Amino acid sequence: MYRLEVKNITKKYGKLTAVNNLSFNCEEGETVVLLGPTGAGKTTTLRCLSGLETLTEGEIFLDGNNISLLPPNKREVAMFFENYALYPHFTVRENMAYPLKSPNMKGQFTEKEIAQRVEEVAELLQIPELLERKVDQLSGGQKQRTALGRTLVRKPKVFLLDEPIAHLDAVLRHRMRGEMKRIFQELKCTVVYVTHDYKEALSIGDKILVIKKGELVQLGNSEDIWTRMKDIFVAKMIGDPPMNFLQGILKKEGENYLVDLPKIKSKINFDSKEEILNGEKEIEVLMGVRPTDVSILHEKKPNSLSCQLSVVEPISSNYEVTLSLPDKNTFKIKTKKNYEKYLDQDVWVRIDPAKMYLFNPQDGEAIYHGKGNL
Amino acid sequence: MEKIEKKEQIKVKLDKINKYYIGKKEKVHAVKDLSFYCRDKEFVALLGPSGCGKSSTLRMIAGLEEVSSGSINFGDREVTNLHPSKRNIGLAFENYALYPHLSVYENIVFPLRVKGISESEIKNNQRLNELIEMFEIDKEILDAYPKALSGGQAQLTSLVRCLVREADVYLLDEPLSHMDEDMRVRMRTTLKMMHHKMSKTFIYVTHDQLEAFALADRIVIMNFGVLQQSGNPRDIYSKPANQFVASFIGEPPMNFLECYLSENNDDLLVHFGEQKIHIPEQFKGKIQPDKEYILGIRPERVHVSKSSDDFKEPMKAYVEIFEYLGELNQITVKLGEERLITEIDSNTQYKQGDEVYLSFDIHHMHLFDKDTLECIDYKFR
Repeated sequence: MYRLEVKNITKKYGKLTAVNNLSFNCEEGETVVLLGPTGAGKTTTLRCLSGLETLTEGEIFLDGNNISLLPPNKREVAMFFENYALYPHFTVRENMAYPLKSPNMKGQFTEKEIAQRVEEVAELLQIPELLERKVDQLSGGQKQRTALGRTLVRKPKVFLLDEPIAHLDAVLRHRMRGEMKRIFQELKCTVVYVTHDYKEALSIGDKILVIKKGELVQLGNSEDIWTRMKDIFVAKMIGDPPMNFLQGILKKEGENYLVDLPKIKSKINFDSKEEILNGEKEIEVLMGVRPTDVSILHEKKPNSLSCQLSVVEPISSNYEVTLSLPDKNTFKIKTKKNYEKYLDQDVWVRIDPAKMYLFNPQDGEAIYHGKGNL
Repeated sequence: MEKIEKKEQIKVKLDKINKYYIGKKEKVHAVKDLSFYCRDKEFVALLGPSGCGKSSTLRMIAGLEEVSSGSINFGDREVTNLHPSKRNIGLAFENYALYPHLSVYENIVFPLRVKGISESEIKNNQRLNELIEMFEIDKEILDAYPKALSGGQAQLTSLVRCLVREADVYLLDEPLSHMDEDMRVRMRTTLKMMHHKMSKTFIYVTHDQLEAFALADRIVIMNFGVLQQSGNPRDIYSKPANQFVASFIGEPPMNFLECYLSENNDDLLVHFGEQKIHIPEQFKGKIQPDKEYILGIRPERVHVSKSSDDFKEPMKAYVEIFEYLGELNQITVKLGEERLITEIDSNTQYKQGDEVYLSFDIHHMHLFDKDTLECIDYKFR
């Protein structure tokens, strides 16, 4: 049972509150991702869990034991740092064995046990053939695995990782993201993983905590975060290119709802059984539409926005198209089709109401999630 | 090298350029026999990993580095040994070189002041005002001094200063690299829009393939000082000249499998692991049996199904990693001993260990010679 419970933790540095009353659980074998922009308090939270920072308030339990006041080396948690600080003149095996031979571990393991552990972990990381190689002969990805291996040989109960792959190049990062997920699944260990990259969060996290200014914004699984985002902050963090937002007014027209977009002289009709207006006659809304959830038309049709096609950017197998709206704002879409020959021409972009979101512009809360994404 | 149509106007032409850096102990051959051209009004990206010679090349075009051998022409004018100030170029570099004692606005209009343009003309300079608006430089930043700027803002100032002046050719070296992701993507789109409006020739150095693809009309890819391929982004993506280009371009990256080929009557087969599948007739006569090759296939060209009935030549594989990514999902499958990445739609979910069947879109698969790493199908695609 390696269950981590974080209860109402707060960390203050003088007047600055870095983490504010944060609570979450990480069940055995579960990967919890802390997602947020720079300065959100992700790393501070992780350092509190590891014992490198003392809590201002709150408690941390591991398997029901309060570990809040224990020093780092007594917590049975291992923290993986981004800069891996391997010994370049040592072999992979020597680097990985190092934590088991360190002075405070002395005498706890026989040479045979150490060799066995190192080999087990090397197998998991798919680097057994590299064990006798010197670190300075390794590629970036191999170094990353070696560093992971060095953390894993101690068989920690809880594994803490702070942006472990953020500084790898794109191709390697892509491969290591999947690898991380596989390794955590096979180890069945309890993981808390910090990142600012939403794709890493969606891919790796069983549970995602979106954090802003030290406070929890949303807790959910990947699908919750993608399709039932709590507010604009979450919506803006998730998606590449990010969601488009348009200012409008929501009202009822007969049985149907209508989002009036006066600035760009368009209207979006949709039906919903939900009561979104909350008794009001009309309310201001921000309409959110993902770049992948629209289509380009060459004539005006219902639920379409008139615009000019201003930029086409090929990105891998897709194209990102920037459209200029009548109010000079832009709208980005992502498509498989090349629209280069329509540059500077007038087109219409069709909104699928089943895939749009509505937010309250005052507090940013989501008030409607299109049902087509569920 | 691509053929140049006679009618097309060539703005910048490099002919067999070499660059040596001579140190105490060794001589580094940084750029090797490099030839490429840039059409008038074209946006060309020089793309490659760090150390590939792309920045040296740009600096030679600018005149900031001496050319060891070869020639550089701007239109009909040879500029190989011409002083930078005589070349009529606009420059923006990764390190911003802003004047610390001047405000952002004064930095930006500096090239106009040097030309002796009057205050009122500067105020009404259309390009200046357009640049300030499009690159979202607000009043507060215009009044600030360089030391108060973030790396991204300083870089943007340097970029705008470069674009303000009238030049024949604009040379930009990683001008967006210090911006955070959000800003970089917005400024990339703006830069592309601005290039379209200005209708000028741009040469742009970057190590970021996505940036090069998004911006450029044509891309010149270098590695170890040698030209690997030049062409428009679509062609480079679908017709890579060699395995380096194929692996450098695309995200998620192309899958590679070691393979060999056999030819039996009318059957042309590629073998890898325990699998064999038919490949298109075009390969006939282009391949040698018993020689080793590398098969390359992009993730979006690997199709997946739970049923073997969906494909003519199904290959059984196992799901090793399933990744939910929102707009689509990605799985890593194990086919024999090999791992492949493939993209699937967001409504399909798999879990680790699931049995699946794969099919390759063989008309979009590539074969690379295992010794030379050249792409065999490059010539007939």
